Amino acid sequence: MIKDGRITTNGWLFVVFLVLVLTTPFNPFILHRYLPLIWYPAVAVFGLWLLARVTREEVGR
Amino acid sequence: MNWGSPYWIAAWLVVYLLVCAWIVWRYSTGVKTEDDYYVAGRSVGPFANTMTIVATVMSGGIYLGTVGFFYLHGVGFLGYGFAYAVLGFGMWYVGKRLWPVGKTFNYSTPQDFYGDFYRSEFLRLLGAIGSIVFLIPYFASNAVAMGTILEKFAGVPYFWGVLILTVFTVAYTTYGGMRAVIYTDVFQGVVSLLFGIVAVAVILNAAGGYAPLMDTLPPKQTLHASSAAAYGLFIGWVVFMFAHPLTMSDRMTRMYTIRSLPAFRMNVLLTSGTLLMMTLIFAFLGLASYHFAGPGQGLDNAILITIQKQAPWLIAWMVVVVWACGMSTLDSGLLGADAMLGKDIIKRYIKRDISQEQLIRIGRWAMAIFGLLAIWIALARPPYVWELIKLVVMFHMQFLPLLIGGLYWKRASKLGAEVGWIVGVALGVYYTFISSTPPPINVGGAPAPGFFALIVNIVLFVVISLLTSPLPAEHRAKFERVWSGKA
Repeated sequence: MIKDGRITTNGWLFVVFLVLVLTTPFNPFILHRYLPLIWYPAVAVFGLWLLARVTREEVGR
Repeated sequence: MNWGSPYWIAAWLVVYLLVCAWIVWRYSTGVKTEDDYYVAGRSVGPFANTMTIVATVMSGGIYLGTVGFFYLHGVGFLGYGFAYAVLGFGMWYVGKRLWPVGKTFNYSTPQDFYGDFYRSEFLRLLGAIGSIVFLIPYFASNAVAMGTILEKFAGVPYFWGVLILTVFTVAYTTYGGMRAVIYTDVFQGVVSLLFGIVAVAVILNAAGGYAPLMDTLPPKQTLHASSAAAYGLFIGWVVFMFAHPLTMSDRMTRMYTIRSLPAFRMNVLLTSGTLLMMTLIFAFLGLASYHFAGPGQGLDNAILITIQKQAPWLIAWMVVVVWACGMSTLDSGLLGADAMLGKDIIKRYIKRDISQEQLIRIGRWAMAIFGLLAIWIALARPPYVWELIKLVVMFHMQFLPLLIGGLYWKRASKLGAEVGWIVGVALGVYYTFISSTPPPINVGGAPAPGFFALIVNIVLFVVISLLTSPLPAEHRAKFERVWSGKA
């Protein structure tokens, strides 16, 4: 996520992921009763996709 | 048919125990070396390693207690699940450095790493003793869950439920070591997850589907509260659940058992995906329990009422699942405690020239003693089983700063690690047992004492490390060479 002292694309995507996770309780876009339980797997899938990207890049190093 | 018949439930349990015994017999022969016994020869594939982590995380009370927390707090408890979304990254960055040093330096306990890396006998010895002391009540909490459910549904006296479970688990763990633990965990994990999937399908169907279920629930169940207290609890659970799979001795050692780094990558992805799905199962079951059982039920009772009402044919399977979850956590903990006693205490301080056979033999006796202690505590029926789980996580999460700092921060110092850790543990114990007021930074609920203690621990670790000499360059270089693949 950090290469030569600079944050890579994966690093920025991880920052976005963390912001999405940590702002969940006051996220204004999930105020409908159906949405919090849909938001959770949606963020989780994004996290898994990012994890797959990060680990694929790093496993060879 | 009478699905709740004690004979029917007992028959399921007998079949379950027979399958476990067959797995132990089939996969655990030929345990000869310390590596075989404690880390399964470092040869485990990604699927088995995933299921053993997942099954170990699922403790005996998880289908009662965690589902119960969703029943009480609704989606406000989702911090528990979001922790697992972040956990995969933690597992990857810790494991990709811990696995190669484990293999190179023959590590099989967390204290092997802390003691060697920080050159600290204080961390090695007190870490091992503390870990064993805090794990034993945790074993007991699993025995309590299993004794209780067997008494409730099969009419078997609580004493016999606790005894059968603990003796059976101690027997197969002493016989087969880590291989027995891992391959029974695979079966136990699959049985438990399949139950969750089937239960969600049946109960959601009974509620009329997702939208009708959410339509009938009050807003406190379906929406996040915007108060500071609710956010504190969310963050508290994120940190609490993120920290323990990385630091608890029975789970962390799975970063030693995997056979290669590419296999570990797959292991991390599978583990994250499975734990995220597991949380979704618990959330649905908790919310559906509120719908069917109504408010005001006890934490552990809501899901049982729901299953009895809506899917009584699942009762026997649920009893087996509580046993499977309890046994899968108990066996890992027993082996972890045994490894710490054998390697970190006996081999290091009492008999340095001990042979591998002697070490394994002593470990087997030690496991029997740990089992007896767990039975003794469980028979006292501690009034609130979750307190015991809170304690073990509080203790182990204090290793997080020195684990991550050691692996990635060149300024990490021995004194910073030691002082941060011991102060963190002392504060956690103080706010759990002694203080009548909550900690100054109070996230509420189970994570509160450990969370505050962790913040103080991190601050002390960083500040003292900056003020004192880092680890000698040539010592750190030994580890750097392994991480860069040049060792």
